[in-house]
Amino acid sequence: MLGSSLMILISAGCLVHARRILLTHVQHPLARYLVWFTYALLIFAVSRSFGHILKHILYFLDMNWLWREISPVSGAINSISFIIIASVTLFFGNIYDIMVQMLKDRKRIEQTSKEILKLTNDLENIISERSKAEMSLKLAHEIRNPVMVIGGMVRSLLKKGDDTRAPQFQAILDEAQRLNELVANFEKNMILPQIHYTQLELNTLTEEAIELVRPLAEQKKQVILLNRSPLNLFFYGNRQTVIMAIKHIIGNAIEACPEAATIEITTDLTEKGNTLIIEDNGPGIAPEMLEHIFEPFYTTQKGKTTGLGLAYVKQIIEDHRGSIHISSPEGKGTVVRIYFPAYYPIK
Amino acid sequence: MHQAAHLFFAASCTLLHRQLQKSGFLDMDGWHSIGNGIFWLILWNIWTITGHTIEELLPGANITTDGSHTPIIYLDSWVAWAYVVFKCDHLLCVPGMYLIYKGVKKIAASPDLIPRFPL
Repeated sequence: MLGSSLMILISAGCLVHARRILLTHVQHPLARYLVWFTYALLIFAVSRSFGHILKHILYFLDMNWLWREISPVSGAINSISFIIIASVTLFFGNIYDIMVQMLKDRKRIEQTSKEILKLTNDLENIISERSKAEMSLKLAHEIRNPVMVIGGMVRSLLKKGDDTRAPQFQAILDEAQRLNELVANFEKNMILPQIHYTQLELNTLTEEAIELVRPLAEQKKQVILLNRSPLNLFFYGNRQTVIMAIKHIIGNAIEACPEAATIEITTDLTEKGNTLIIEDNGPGIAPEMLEHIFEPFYTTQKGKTTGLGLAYVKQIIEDHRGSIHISSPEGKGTVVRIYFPAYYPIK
Repeated sequence: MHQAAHLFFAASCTLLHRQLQKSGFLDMDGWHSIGNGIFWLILWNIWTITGHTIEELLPGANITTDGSHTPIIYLDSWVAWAYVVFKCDHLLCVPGMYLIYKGVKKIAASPDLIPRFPL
């Protein structure tokens, strides 16, 4: 009797403390598990002790026959309580797996946040560089116009044959030409925003982009096949923006394709340069849509997307002196071909 | 059936103990005590299975309530002695439960003992 009562009291105490833990760790799977476990302990203690106490009471009341009748029922209840506590106990492994998954997701979110932060910084820098370049080009244009006028006028004076000041006119013309060349060189350098460009490798960037979208594909039970080129496909560019562009294209394929579809990605070196081909066996794109697909604000999902995604992707690829082509034979899926100029590092 | 339930209980407790050990929980205060409590419950299950087996071997005539409210056991064989010893299973079950209680209480008092992520 004492042992049975102690078991009930102790298991009730366990439950009280487990509930305290849950109050301080709301939503924590381990805290919730402890509550289940202690509930199971209480059920086990009550069912076991109830049988023992009842047995003693019935013996005390000289009702041994009744105990003999109901003892199988008590045993069965006991067995059920064992199965309950054993089942809850077995659940710990699942709880631990959930915690491991939570850790993986947290790391992935942290990594993605870092990538997004880096991308935002890079984009800000690119925009800033672009604004500076545009201003500089405008300034260069403003300088070139008067230089051209000066050059033209001096040339016509020279043609009139005013011999006495010909050397001075020639000197002015030479200086005007030098200034014109200077402006031309300045414009050439400004057109290529190379400040944030580094040596990149297309296979690696493609793999990184695939890892970013893999959870989306897994949700739809889709398979991403990568036919990786054995060659190193070097080119020159901005890592973050290229990854985001590739990720966007693969993400579009995942979204467009039904469950269990296959998305095939190929990297290669062709006569057009470093080549990336993304093929899916989805429903494809209607010809009337294909014509406008790279236009800013063109979208088929009004309210859901801005329609800037593919326009931005095209802009990124062209900034890298590359090109993008989409073909979509009706009902045969979509093929996206992206080319980047190959760059061979000098060792 | 009842014996099978005991076996299932013992097996699941063993698995839990192993998982706690493998995942590093047993090195933490509170969890260490819960692990010990679970170990006592494993012993209790084995003890009780043995007790039930001996109960099957004990002739019915050995237990009687002749004129008394308390059952009387005739200790005339080793089986009868073993039956009495193995009936005292609370001596394993109660300490086991107490150790679990001690562990849960300790965890409730120290929030850090519920790790946010796997150890």
